[in-house]
Amino acid sequence: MAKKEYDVLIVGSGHSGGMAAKVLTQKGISCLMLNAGPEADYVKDRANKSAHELPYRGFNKPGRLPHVYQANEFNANQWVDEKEVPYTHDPAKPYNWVRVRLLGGRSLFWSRQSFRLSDFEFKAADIDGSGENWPISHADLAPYYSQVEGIFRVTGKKEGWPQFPDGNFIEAPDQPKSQTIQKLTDLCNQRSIGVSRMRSSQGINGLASSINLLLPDAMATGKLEIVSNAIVREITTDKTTGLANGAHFVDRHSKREMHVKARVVVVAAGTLESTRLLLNSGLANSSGVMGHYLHDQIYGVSVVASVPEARDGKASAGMMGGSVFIPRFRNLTKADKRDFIKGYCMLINSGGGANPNFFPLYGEELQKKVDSYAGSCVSGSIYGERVARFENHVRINKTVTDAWGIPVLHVDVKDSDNELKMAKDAADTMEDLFKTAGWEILSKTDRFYPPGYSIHEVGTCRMGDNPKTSVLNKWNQSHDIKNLFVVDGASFVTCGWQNPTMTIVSLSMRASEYLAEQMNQRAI
Amino acid sequence: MVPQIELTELDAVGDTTPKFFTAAQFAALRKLSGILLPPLKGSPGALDTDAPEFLDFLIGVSPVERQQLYRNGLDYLNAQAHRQFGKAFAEIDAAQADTILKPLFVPVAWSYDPPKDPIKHFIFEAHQDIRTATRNAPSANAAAGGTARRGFAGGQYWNPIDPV
Repeated sequence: MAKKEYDVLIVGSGHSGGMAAKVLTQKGISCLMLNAGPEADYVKDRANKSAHELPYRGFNKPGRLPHVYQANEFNANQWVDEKEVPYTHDPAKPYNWVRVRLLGGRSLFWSRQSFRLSDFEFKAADIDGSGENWPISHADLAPYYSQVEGIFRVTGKKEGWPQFPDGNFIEAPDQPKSQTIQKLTDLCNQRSIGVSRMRSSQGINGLASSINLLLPDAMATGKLEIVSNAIVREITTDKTTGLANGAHFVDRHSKREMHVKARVVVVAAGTLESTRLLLNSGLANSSGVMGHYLHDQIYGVSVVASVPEARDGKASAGMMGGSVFIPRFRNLTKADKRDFIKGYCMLINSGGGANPNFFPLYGEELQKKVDSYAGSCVSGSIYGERVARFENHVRINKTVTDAWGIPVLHVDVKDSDNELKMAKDAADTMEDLFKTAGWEILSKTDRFYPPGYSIHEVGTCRMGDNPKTSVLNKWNQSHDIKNLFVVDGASFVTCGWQNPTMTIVSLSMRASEYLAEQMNQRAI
Repeated sequence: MVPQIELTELDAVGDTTPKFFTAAQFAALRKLSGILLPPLKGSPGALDTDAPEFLDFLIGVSPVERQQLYRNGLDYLNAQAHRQFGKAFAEIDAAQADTILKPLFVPVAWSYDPPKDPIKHFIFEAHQDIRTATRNAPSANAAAGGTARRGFAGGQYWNPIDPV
C-alpha cells in the first residue's frame, strides 16, 4: 500500500535539521525526518570507567579512526566508523572528516562557542578582494541570530565591535582579572588588539543540542515523525516537472531498500554528507560549483610561556588564572597591511602546567621540571580562517562504496600560503605578547592540523545571487530545483574564524520560515 | 530475580605474555621504561606496573609503521650499547644509558609535529606511551587509591551504540 506523502522530508537531525523541523512543524507543516544512525540512550550507552578497565587501557584500538584526532578510547563509539563509511584522499593531501550519525548528530558534542559572523565575512570580497560576497549581510540574519541566541541561552559580553557583532546575550558580570590576565590585556590594548570574553551557549544542563533544544518543540506539535537508522541514498525527482518528490533510503540494519514521498526535500545531513547525497543524486548542479569551495579553520598554532614569579608554587593569590578571548584583529582597516588576508582569533588561558614534551628530559629530572612549572603557565591558541578556493573540492569516487553500497566522497583539499602566513603571524604575535610580559617561552608552533580537523567544514553548495556561480540562492534554496533546500553549513560562502553553529542554525531558521511562507502561498 | 555474579578483572589474575618484540628488543624496552619512568613521589614506575609488557601487546597490534618505528628504535639502542660499551642496552649502567639517551631527547612543541629523525621520533613516542601505559595500569590505579586521580585515567565511556 502506498504510504502518505509528507509535506517536507528533512534529511538529518543535527542543529540545522532540528531547527528546520521546529520552524516548519510549528507552522502546521507535516515533516518526516530521516536520520542515518541510531538514537543514543544516555543512561544505557554511557558509563563512568577508569582507563584500565578499557581493552586498550585508554590508548584506543590501534588503527581505528585514523582521521579523528579527537577520538580516544572513551569516546570512540560515538564517531562514524571510517571502515563502514569511508572516504578517500590523496595521501599527500590529508583531510580529517569527523562525523557523528547518532540522532542529533554533532550537536551532541560541540564545544558551544557561539559567535555571529560579521560583515567582514558576509562582505569579505568588498574588503579583501577575494572570492565572493554572501548574498546576505549581517543585518539580514541579525533577527534570526537573536532568536537562536535566546533558544541556546548564549552568555557573552557586548563590545560594540563591528568584527564581533553583539547579540541577545545573557550578560554575566566581569570577574576580577588575575595579574597575568591584566598584564596581557594592557599589552593588547597598547597594540590596539581588543580583548573580550568567550561567548558560549549554556543550553540546558550543559547540553545545547538539537535533541534537547529543537526536536522536543517539533515533536510537541504532533507534526514530526522521526525515523532512525534510515540512510538516504538518493533524492528522487518527478520526470515531468523535475521537482524533488522524495528519496530512496536504506535500512541501516537489514539493508532493505525503501522509498518515501514528499512535496519538499530539506537536506541537513552536515556539509559533506549533504553534498555527497546531492552529487550521488545527480541534482541541482547546473552551476558546476557543487562540491567546490570546501573550507574550514586552522587549529593547532600555539604558544606556551611560564611566568617566572609563579614557579615552584610561589604564585601569589590573584597572580594566575582566568582566560581571555580575542576576536579577529587583523586586516580590519585599510591601514593594516599584512602579507595575508582575513584573520584569526586568539584564546589565552592563565594558570596551567607545562606539557612534559616541552622539556628534553626524562625520569626524575623531568618530574622536577614539571613540578616546578606547575600552575605557572600561560598558553595561547588560535582559530584562523581558511580561504574558500574553487580547487579545494569533493567529488564522488565511483570505485569505492560504503557498507550500504553508496559511492563515497573523494576529498581534494590543500592549504596555501595564506594559511601558512596567517599561522606564522599568530605564533609571532603571541610570542611577542608573552615575551614583552617578561615570561619564558616554553613552546611555540606555527604548525596546524590538516583541513577538516576543526569539524567546521563548510562550503560545497555555496549560496549566491548568480545561478552560474552558486548552488543555492539567499534562502538556501536550490537555484535549479525550487522545492529543494540545503540548510546546513554547505551554503557558506566564507567561514570566518568563528564557530559556525550560530550561523548554521540562524540560516536554517530563516530558510525554513521562507519555505513555510512559500508553501502557505502555494508557491512551492 | 537472577543474581549478578561479581567478576574479577583479568589483570588481577594474570600477567601479559610478551610475544611481539624479539628478546633483545624487549629487554631494551624494559630497560628504557625503567629509566624514563622510575617510581616517583610514591607513584609506581613503569616496571612496577606492566607497562613494557602492555606496550609489547599494543605495538604488536598497531599499524606496521609504528611497529617499525619501535623495532628500529630498540635495535638502535642495542647497537649503540654494543658499540660504545660492548654490551646490550639492558646490561649497561645508568650513566652509560644517559650517554646514549640524552642526545636523543629534543623539546617537542606539538605532538603532531614529532622529530623528523626516526630514532628521536621513537624516543618521543615511546616516552609518551610508557607514561600513559604506566598511568593507566590497573596497579597504578590501585596505588592511587583506586580513584584514578592522575591524569587522563578515567572518564565517561560510550558503549557501542546499536552496532550493525
